[in-house]
Amino acid sequence: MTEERDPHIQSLFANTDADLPDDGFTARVMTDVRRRRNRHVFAKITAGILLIAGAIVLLAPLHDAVPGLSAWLTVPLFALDNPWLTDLLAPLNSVAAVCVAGLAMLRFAYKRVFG
Amino acid sequence: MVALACAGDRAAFAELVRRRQSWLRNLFRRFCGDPVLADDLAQQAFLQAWRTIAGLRHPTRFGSWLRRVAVNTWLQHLRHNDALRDADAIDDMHAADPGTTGAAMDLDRALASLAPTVGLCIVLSYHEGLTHDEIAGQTGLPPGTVKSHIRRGTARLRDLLAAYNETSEPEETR
Repeated sequence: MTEERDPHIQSLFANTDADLPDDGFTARVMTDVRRRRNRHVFAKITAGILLIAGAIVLLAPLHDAVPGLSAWLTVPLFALDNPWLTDLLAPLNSVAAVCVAGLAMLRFAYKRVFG
Repeated sequence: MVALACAGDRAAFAELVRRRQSWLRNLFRRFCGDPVLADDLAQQAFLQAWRTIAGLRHPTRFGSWLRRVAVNTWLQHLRHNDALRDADAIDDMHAADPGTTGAAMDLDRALASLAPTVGLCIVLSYHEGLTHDEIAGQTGLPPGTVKSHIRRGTARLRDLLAAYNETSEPEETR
């Protein structure tokens, strides 16, 4: 690949390149940099406040929902007469076991398709 | 200095801006031919540089990295603006800038008459002294396209700036 340049155009480029005085340019750039940093800090503080407010608002309903959810997950799928056997098989004979099995199957399918 | 700026030192970055502002503003003047727009774009490029300088792996290559930031800023500007509409406003802007010499005005006018990507390749070749491969790397254009852009752009500039060729020839023979 030839890289020849026209000498006249080359010299024209070289001669027209003036040394530009700063004239407050650097100060303007740094003001923008400072503004951007302030905006960044403000955005972080706002996000933090929203997160805390959200947590306060949602914490109570979540706290109330946990026992109900926990009770629902331990509901046995099949009623067994023997209480000892019921306790022993609880990890498998429950809604939670079905949820875990479902999630495992989804993960397996995802890996087969995209893995 | 660059390493300090990479670590978030604003004073070091300000010093880098002070040292490079003339070069970068001149580069944008050649890109767009409008001193006011060139300063705005140079400011944007420096701001973008500040945002991403922490990711600069080789501080010794700050100059070429900043040039790449400038080229990306210019390409982004071209994508978001109607280049033809901007070209219409160039003459008025030049008239308002007392620091621009006649030769610089003519060169900028000639560059503005080129297609934006052709002008970009020409400036990177003649102003920055980059090779075709380097220009291809910075602009994302195929090397063959860069070569043809520079060939076509050079021919067009030669026609438009023929007066300067004639006036400069006697000086060279001396």
